[in-house]
Amino acid sequence: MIRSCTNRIIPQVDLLLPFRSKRLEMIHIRQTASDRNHYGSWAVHDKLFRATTATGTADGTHSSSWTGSDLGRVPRERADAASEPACTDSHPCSGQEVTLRPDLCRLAEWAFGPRGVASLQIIAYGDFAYGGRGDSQNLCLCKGTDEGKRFQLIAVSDPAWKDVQHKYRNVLEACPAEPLFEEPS
Amino acid sequence: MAIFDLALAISDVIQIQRSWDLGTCVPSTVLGTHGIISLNHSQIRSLNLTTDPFCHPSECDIDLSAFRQLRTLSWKGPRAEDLDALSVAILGNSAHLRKLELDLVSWPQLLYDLGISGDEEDEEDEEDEDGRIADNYFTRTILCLDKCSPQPLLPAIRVLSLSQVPVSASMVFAVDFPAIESFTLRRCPGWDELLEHVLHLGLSIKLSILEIQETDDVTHGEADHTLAQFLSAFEGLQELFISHQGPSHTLALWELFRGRHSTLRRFVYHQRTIDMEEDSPYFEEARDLPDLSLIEEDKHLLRENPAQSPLAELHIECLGLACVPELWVRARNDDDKVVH
Repeated sequence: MIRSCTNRIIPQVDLLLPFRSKRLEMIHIRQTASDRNHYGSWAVHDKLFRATTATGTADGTHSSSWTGSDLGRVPRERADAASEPACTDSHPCSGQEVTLRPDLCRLAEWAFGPRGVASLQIIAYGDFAYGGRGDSQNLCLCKGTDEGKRFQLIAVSDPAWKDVQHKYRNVLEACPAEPLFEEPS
Repeated sequence: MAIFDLALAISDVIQIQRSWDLGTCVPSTVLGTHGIISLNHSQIRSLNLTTDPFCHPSECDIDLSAFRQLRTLSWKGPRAEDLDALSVAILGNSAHLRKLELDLVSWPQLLYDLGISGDEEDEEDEEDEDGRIADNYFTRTILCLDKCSPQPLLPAIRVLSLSQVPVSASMVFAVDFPAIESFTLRRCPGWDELLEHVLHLGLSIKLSILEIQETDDVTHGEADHTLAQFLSAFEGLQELFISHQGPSHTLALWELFRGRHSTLRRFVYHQRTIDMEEDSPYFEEARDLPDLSLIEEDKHLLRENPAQSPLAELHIECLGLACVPELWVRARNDDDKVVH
């Protein structure tokens, strides 16, 4: 069992399993931008505490020692995450290396894998309210095109990123937690 | 002169796109009474504005009275000074306006700018005039709805999207509710009262798209019953986007989709809560609830028999959930075990 910062037990369940033979095209893991800044990302490790890296591979070996989540801990408490194997890929904005959290890595490997959700095209992560506001911490994952890679990040500069934002706009931008404009300080 | 040149350039853009989505101040030379758009392009049918709500009043007067052919009006970020212009634009196109999209950005801030007290204590006092004015500002002051108004005031509306706009029961007289196809209420005070009134009147509901977002500061659970009743009162939703205060019984809400909304293709579900950890640097601030607040019984169901999930019999194409990745699929050491 995993405990979040609000002392809630994070259950591990299988919401996606029923969609394996359906028509699910896209999933969006919603995390509000301010939450990510306050409590840490559900998707990406902070650079300082980057895990021992391993590229997500078709045999899923990277995840064999997965132990759990560090959800909600403030960054200074996340040093233990560095011992968890994870995936790396190019940063969608800067081209720098980014380390995906093992939970997201496992989800993507399974979902885009041969026993996953065959119809799935996109896993989006982050806060896309108001067009994403150029948020560099948002991610889009799609099926891997290279042999041996089940999934890959879509770069912000890739036209495919814009296509995703356009095609799924009302889903990605629904229910924005923060206002369109902040009052000037 | 420079501004005039800019206005000319923008005029060309707007003539094609009919939108000002820059989020900046709009110079009076563009959309003022004698603005170039108002003078030269008054026949446009679609006007989309995103303007800076913090612009100095004298720098950018907006007058939309020239536009009498609008089928679509979208305005995000009007200032208190712009609300008269907004009212004129809506009423001047009331007979044929099909899509109305308003984002007042911060209703409490607008109330302050309007000099209206919006204190909760005042609102609870039936005698408090400011409270009544605040609650009914949209219907009475912007839509000028009264007993003499035609009903519905906006008979052609099919798409209605309101953000930070106070709504009340009388809104049902402003629109032809059974004709609305897409209805969005984001952080609108009184949204539950409006839905309750729709139910109370037994109006026909034919929505394809519904988005309901509660404000972060309401007491959780208060409006869940209303939302559940509303969703139970009709069928055929294709897109549903919900963000409300948690913890709330997630699967109980999802159960309402069975049969009734088997048409659902796009679904977003987000629970927010207040950080009540006293030692948290973000104590009493709103935050996401990352676990869908699943109760034990539901965790067991989703773990042991995920095919019984209320979503399992739907044909959802796009799914947005505010929950951590480990809820989407369970972690196991052996990939193969996931599928058995």
